[in-house]
Amino acid sequence: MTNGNKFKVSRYILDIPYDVRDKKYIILFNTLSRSLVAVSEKTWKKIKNNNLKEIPAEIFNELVNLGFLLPEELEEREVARTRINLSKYNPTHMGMFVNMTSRCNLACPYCYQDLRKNLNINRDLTVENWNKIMKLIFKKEDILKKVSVVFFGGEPLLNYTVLKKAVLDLDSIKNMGIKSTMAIITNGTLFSKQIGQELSPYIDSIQITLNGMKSTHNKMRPYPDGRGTFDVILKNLVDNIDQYTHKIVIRSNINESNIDSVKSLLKYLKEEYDLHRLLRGVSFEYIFPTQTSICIGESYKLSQHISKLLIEIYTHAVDLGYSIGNPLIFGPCMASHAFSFAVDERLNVYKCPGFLYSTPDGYIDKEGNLIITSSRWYSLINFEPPCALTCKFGPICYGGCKWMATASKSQISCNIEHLRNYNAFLTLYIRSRYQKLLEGEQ
Amino acid sequence: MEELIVLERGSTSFDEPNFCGVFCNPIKGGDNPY
Repeated sequence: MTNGNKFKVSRYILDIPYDVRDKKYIILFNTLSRSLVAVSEKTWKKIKNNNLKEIPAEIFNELVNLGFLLPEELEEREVARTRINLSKYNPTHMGMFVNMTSRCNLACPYCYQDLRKNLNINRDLTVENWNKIMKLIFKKEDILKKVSVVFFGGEPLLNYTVLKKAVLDLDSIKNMGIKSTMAIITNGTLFSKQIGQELSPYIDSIQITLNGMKSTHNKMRPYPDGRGTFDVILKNLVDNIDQYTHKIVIRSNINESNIDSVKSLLKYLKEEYDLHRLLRGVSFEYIFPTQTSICIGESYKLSQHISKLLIEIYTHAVDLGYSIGNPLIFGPCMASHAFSFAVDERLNVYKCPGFLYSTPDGYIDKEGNLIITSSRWYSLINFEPPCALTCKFGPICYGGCKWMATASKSQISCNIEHLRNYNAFLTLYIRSRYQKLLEGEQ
Repeated sequence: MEELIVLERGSTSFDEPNFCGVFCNPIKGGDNPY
């Protein structure tokens, strides 16, 4: 395989020691290829010391295939640029955030969507407008291989009739050879067993938010009249878990005031309902400032303090046996992808769901054409952060959140303070998913 | 002890955009996030 070439070690490797019983592994994550492996200390020593010739051929070849080793002559930053650009300009995939309605049946005091709330107009995506989105997909029939849609709002289940039609329409594009994946972000209050049954064959994942035990959650996520929502959400969750096993993600938005309550919630859901085994996973985000505060320049960053809070809650979740996603991957996000966007109920399009109801980047016309009216659309796609290739986190960060970057009137929102804690996050991710495998049990 | 265990085989090209965690954890990281 080497063909006489000399090889070198990738610059995009994160390594952590990982002990399982009497075994000592080194976990390697390549941020460019996103391959994840466990190697022996002996093998890692050979890699690290560049004694590559001492690595058995079979392992050497696998490390090359997975991106950990590459021919010495290659400038890996150019390899990275090419691969990332192939991704950014890949026309065979389309990702869409579809806003089903501007209405919401909750009145969460911390809701980031204050631009939506300030509209004072309740609007739903109509069937007519949904059909225009489908026209857009049909126009790309020859080139598309996959469409990933997230239905959100407002509360998307308030517009259930159109949502159901959208789900069935998207399912039907498999007949054109296009794969679709569908996710719903819902507050869970309307996710009845009947609705769950109707959607279950088509939906890949559902995100439902619980921000702590009953009293804490009810203060943070009440109905407009002040009534709490914990009981109804929990009932819907439990009623639906059998038909949505490994499809539901519990999301908790945390800060210093509710983190302990979220810990209690996770324990409660495990002990009472076995949800640590039945959920797809849990995810946590720090509570963000609103769209308006970002617009007026309130600075926001994943600081060391916030990162530590996230480590604390993720550790608690993994200790209880919950699954988590890889918490290190931030990008390149849909804002960098040429054929992905968020669309509101009036068919205005935005490069990121965080931009919703600010000045749109374009719209979908009645023929299903995507008309771009803002240079921001193109500059977000074409922008290559100066750190993207030089930082070893570049391929999984790519300049961070574009929405947050607007707060500092910058094009990047550096995540380095957070990503420096990769050791902790990667350890938690491995523990949540691969502990048994590494222990030798399948 | 095995010298190499492949836990996740990465892609050589990112054929799918990542939907960031802030808004959209359900599909964070592509097809197999959890």
